[in-house]
Formats: sequence, C-alpha cells, structure tokens
Amino acid sequence: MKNRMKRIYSSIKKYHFIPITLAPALIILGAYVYYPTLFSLYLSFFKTQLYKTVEFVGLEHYLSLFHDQVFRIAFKNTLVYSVGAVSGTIVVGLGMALLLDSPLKGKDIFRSTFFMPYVIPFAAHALLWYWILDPRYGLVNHVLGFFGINPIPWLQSRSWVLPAFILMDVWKRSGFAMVLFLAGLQTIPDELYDAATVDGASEWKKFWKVTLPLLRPVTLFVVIMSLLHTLQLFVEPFLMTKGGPGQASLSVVYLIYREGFRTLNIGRSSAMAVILFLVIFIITILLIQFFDIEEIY
Amino acid sequence: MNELFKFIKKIWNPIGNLSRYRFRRIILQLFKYIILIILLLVIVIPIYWVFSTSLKPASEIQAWPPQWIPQPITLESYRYAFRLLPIGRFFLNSLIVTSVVIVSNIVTCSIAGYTLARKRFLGRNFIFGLILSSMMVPLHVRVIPMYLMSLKLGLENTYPGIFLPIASTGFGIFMMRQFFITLPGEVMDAARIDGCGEWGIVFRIVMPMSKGAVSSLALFALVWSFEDFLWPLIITSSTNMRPLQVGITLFLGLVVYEWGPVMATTALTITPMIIIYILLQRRFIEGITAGAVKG
Repeated sequence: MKNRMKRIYSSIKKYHFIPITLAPALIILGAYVYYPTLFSLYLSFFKTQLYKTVEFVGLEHYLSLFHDQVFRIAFKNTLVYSVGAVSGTIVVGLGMALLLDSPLKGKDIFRSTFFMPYVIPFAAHALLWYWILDPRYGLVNHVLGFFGINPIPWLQSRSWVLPAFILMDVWKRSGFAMVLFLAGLQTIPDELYDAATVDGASEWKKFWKVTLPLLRPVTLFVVIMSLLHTLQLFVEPFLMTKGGPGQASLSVVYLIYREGFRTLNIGRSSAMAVILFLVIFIITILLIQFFDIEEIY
Repeated sequence: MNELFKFIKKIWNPIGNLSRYRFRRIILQLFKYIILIILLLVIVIPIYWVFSTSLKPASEIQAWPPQWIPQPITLESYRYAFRLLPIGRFFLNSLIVTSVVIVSNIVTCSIAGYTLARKRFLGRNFIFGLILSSMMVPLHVRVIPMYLMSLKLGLENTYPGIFLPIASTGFGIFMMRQFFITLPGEVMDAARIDGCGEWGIVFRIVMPMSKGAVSSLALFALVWSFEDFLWPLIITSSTNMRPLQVGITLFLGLVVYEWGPVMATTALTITPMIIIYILLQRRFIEGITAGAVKG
C-alpha cells in the first residue's frame, strides 16, 4: 500500500508537474477573465430581465446605444477626461524626470515624494480631493485666493468638473510616469549627447532629436497604461458627483454600473462594456502601430 | 538708459568674475530648485491637509480662513468615525483579503511562470498567449457575469468572493516568467542531478534566487487588493464585509458635510500604504520600471 502510494506520487511528480503548476492560475483566469468576457459578449445580444436572458435581440442594444444621447455624453466625457489626464500626466511626469535626471542635492527626496500619491488607494484619493475641492472651505480655493482668483465651484459646475478630475489624476499618477521616464532616460547612452554636442546641437535640439525619440518605447508604455486606467473612470463620478451636475461627469463605466446594478438592465449594460472594450483594444493597437516599436511585448 | 545698463553691469561684475557660463548654471539650478519645491508642495500639502483636518476639533474644520496647524490637536474625529462605522472590522477584512491575495499570487504566479519559462510542452505558446491576453481585458467588461457567477456560487459577502478574482493574475505570471527566463539554467540542472525534484527546484532554488521579483510581485498584489474598488463594492452588501477602501466611502451616505470623520478614516487608509511605501520604496520603483523597460 505504502509502496503504491509512493509510486503514484512519483508518477504525479514526473508527468503531472506541468498541468499542476498551470492549473491554479488557469482556473482562476478562466473563471474570472475568459468565461465572463465571453459571457458578457453573449449577454449583450439578449434582452434581459432581473439577471435572466429573455429574448435574443441581436445587435439591437448596440444600435440603440449608437443613438442614445446619454451614452454619447458619457462616452464624450470619458474621452475628454482621458485625453486631458493622459497628456497632463505625460507632460508633468516627463518634466519631473528631466528635472531630476542630473546630479542634484535632495534628488531622492523629490523622487520619492513625487511618486507617493501613486500608492494612495483610489477611494481615499477621491475623498481627499472631495474635501480639498470644497467650494467654500476647500484648500484649493483658499490658495487660489492668495493669487486673487475667485472661488471656483469645481465639482458643482458643468464646465469645471472634468478639469477637476483631470487635475486629480495628474496629481496622482505623474510620479508613476516620472519613474518610468527616469528609467528610460538612463537607457540613453551619453555618447549620443556627446555626438550631438560635437555637431553643435543646442540643448533644445538635443531634447527634440535625441531624448524624445529614444523615449518612445517608455512613452508608449505610459500612454497605454494611463489610457487603460483613465478610460475606466469610475471612482470619482461614483463617489463625488454621481455623474452630475446634470450629466457633465457621467462616465462609461459609471453608466455600465448604473445600468447593470441599479436599473438591472444587464444586456444593455454588457453591450456598453463590449463597446468600451473594443475602443480600448483598437486604441491600443493603433498606438502600437503609431509608435512602431518591436520590443514591446 | 544705456548708462543704467552699464551701471548694472558694474554692480554685477563681482559675480561676473565667475565665468558667465557658471553664472548661468547657478541661475538655472536655482530655477530648477524653485520648480521642484513648488511641485513638492503641491504633492505634500493635500496629503498633509488630510491629517491636519482629521486632528482638528469639529468647530475648527470649517473655519475660514483655514487653520494650517490644528489647535488644539484632538482625536475627536477618530472617535466619532469609530462610533459610526466598524472601522476595525474594515481593517480586518482588508488585512485578510490582502494577505491571501499576496500569498496566492506569489505561489500560483511563480509555479506557472516557472513552467512557462523552463518547460517545453505542447501548447506552451498558446497558453502563454492566453495568459497575456487576460491582461487586456479590463474589469468592467467582465464584472456583470462575474457577479452573476459569484451569486450562484454563494460567494456574495464572503472573503473568497472578494479575493478570488485577483488571486492569480496574468501580469504576475508574465512578470515571474520574464524573470525566471533570465536565471542560469545550470543551477537548476545541478539541483536536478543532485536528486532535487521539480517542486524542490521551484521552491528551494528558483524562488530564493528571485527574491527581488517575488517581493515586487508581493507589492503589486498589495496595491491591487487595496486599489480594487468596483469589485469589492459590488460583491459585498453587508457593512461588516466591506474592505477598508469601500467601507470608508460609506460615510458619504451617513454624514453630510462633516469632514472630520471622513478625513480621519481617509488618513487611516492612507497611512499604512505610505508607511509601506516609505519602507520599501526602492522595491516599488524597481518593480514598476522592470515591467516597462524589460517589457
């Protein structure tokens, strides 16, 4: 008996190492990634009632969403927010990296501090800014007051709510971009700058002709990571504005949440999710083409 | 006017003894520091403000102009927060979920990463592709079926319900595989000749050799489980099962414009993350850059 157990054990060891090591990961990914993704696609073709499919409707959800005013607004808001937040993060992050990419006293302190907001959980981040952006007692308006700027109703006005969200995201994620840009800057060989100096290039020209082109792989990575994050804007509208004022801060994921878990229209909600997924997918592919890099995995 | 310029030049001349080049450099350096310090303040002050608000007496919080330093310092807001909601329970929930996510990611991602990096078998590239593609699917696409499935399995308001979706991650497997591929194969061959089994190689040779990668993965897992908001929000409906990051937002429904308790709990949520970050910042930054620069 003992011998048999031993034999079974050794045969498991010999032949089943590969499946056993892959199984836990694949089971979890299967249950929580592959299956739900396909099921979402399936659901998006159905009319649903209280979490049950009722009737196959084909592309009806997609067609109706195409003409749906609210969905369009949410989509536009999400895109505006994404473009603003991603470009802000890139510019500020690159600026921080360039400032810190030279021998400097206290460099480590600056670098560590700039990265710090990145580790703050999103919910805490939203609450923090909710208070700081308070129109009457908020710190931001107080500080702006020093410069003679009148209080801005950040979250209470249609035109300021998205800029406020953009500002928050740039504050939180610039340090992340900075760390990546700093790593990218270190991979640029000094000889290139020396050669440019010999050729009489100005600092400005060196930045545009040497630094920026060589930072392309890192930039692509930062842009894709940031887009993946910003296109899924949810916590801020959910906690701070409920999509308001009016529909000024409605985002696609917030609409998916509302439609799926409040109105319980999961077919339509799934169709929205699929559309957003396709948009993210296509943008990613286009970006990789646009940046034209092989070494991206 | 010309006289004035000449005069200024004369006054500046002592500085001009430094070469003009050095003078320009000093000005430039000064300018750099000014920008850096402004950025530093922009980052630090909002974080400081959370702590300062949380320590103020209720009457001071909405004082205008705002008080920079709380006076007197009081824990009133913290007491109020703990009375309103089971903050201790939120902490416990987060601690349980986070520990499980960290351990299970380290184990499952390491063994799968090892097999993908070091073993040859039919369908390896297919499986690796499948795992990579899982990184492309954002949560919002899967969240409704995930919820329906969890309801059916009775996972609502349970710890497994919260942590299972991130118990093993495509990114983690990818990261470990990329690292294991760089390890010298001779070490593993030597262990094999000495009679070490495959499991022994993974847990006694490969993982100890990859302490850096393993601890980066642990940090990522920590951040994931703390950042995850939408999923824990959906899968927990009873207040007692909420993890910290979801629990603290419940104040917004309980109090209206009472920032004291809200900032107190925000401070409690931020503090552990900032402490861990300060202690392990090198690992954080290494982990993040490894993902980008190595691919």
